[in-house]
Amino acid sequence: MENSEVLILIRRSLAGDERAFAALFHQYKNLVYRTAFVMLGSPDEADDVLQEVFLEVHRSLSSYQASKGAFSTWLYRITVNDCLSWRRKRRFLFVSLEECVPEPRDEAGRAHEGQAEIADDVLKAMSHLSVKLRAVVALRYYRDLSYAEIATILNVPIGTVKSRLFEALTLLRKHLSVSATEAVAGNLLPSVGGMSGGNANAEVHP
Amino acid sequence: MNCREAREWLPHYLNDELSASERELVQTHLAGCEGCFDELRAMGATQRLVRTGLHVATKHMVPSAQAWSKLQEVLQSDNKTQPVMQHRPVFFMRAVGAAFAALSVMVGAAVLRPALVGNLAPASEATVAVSTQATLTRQAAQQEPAHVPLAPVNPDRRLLAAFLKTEPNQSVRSAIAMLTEPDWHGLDEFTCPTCARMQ
Repeated sequence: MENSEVLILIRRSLAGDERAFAALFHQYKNLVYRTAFVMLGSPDEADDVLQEVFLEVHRSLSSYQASKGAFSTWLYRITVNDCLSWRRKRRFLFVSLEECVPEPRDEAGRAHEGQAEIADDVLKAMSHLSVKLRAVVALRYYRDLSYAEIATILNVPIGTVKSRLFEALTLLRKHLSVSATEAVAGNLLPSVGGMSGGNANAEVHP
Repeated sequence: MNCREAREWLPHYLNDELSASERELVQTHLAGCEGCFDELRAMGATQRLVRTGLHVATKHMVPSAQAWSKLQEVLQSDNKTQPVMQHRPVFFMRAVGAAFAALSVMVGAAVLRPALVGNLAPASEATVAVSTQATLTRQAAQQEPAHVPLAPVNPDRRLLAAFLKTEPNQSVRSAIAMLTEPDWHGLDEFTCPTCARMQ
């Protein structure tokens, strides 16, 4: 959706148009829900966070300033903050991917078994990270945001983003199974759409 | 650049988040260090694994089918209550902070006063209420003025009661009352009562 369309929806929502707010919700619900799931590891908690985030959006929509950043950035900030406060109350609940994708919610059938194992591996490894580390991992490797955008969302210096990312990757490597890492190293995984992977294949010539 | 520095920069090199000069430094190091080059490949594999895993895990995930209808209900009830009093947990937390500060001052005064007035006449019990432990502390301080014990002191409940009567802010009053509950274990276990009601 074009940013101008979002701004129109926001303006109409502020004027009391419920259909415009519904359109905003349906446009961004997956973004919020999936980001919350990556951070919390539980589909039920991600559902709860989705409710809280859009309640907050509804209450404070008038405080959003388009000149200060994209609506999605503002939404990420609310989502991450909500997840951070959520985590203070409850521990990370790892749920197997099969439980995470119950049949009634499954839009396109179950993921390929091999891919599901990889995903399970990554989610299990994520459960060993603190919520602050999961936030940078989610924003960088799931949402492909730049360090500057992550720093803005988390309200921390870029140096902190760098150190958290390094710490997170070190821990993830420790907890990821060897077979999964080998599968990726050997390019056995299919590519996944929407993953602009930065400079992951940077050429170096030792 | 040594290997430790280079390895800390590898994820940011892969993510294209280094300046030109930093990038040059890493490339120069990688050109002469087999170990760090292997590390670069391993780090790249980890990044790709994490990225792929997260996307696969969430690819077919969608919120509950009732998400919008549930939200609509919440928004309707929120619209009814909002004009009266919009819930702002941050205000309540500030009130808790203010209450904590007030409590700290009172407890601090109870602990430090004996040391400060160690060589003076003891204060009247009627004017300054201190706990039993603080009284013992004061006696010890009078004998050994240089020693200021920092052991925890129970806040005086009469003093708090007097404070509660005079404090006009309801949030501060309820926060102070909560802090003096016998089962209070600190802010880590704090749950905003309004948030708890909403859950």
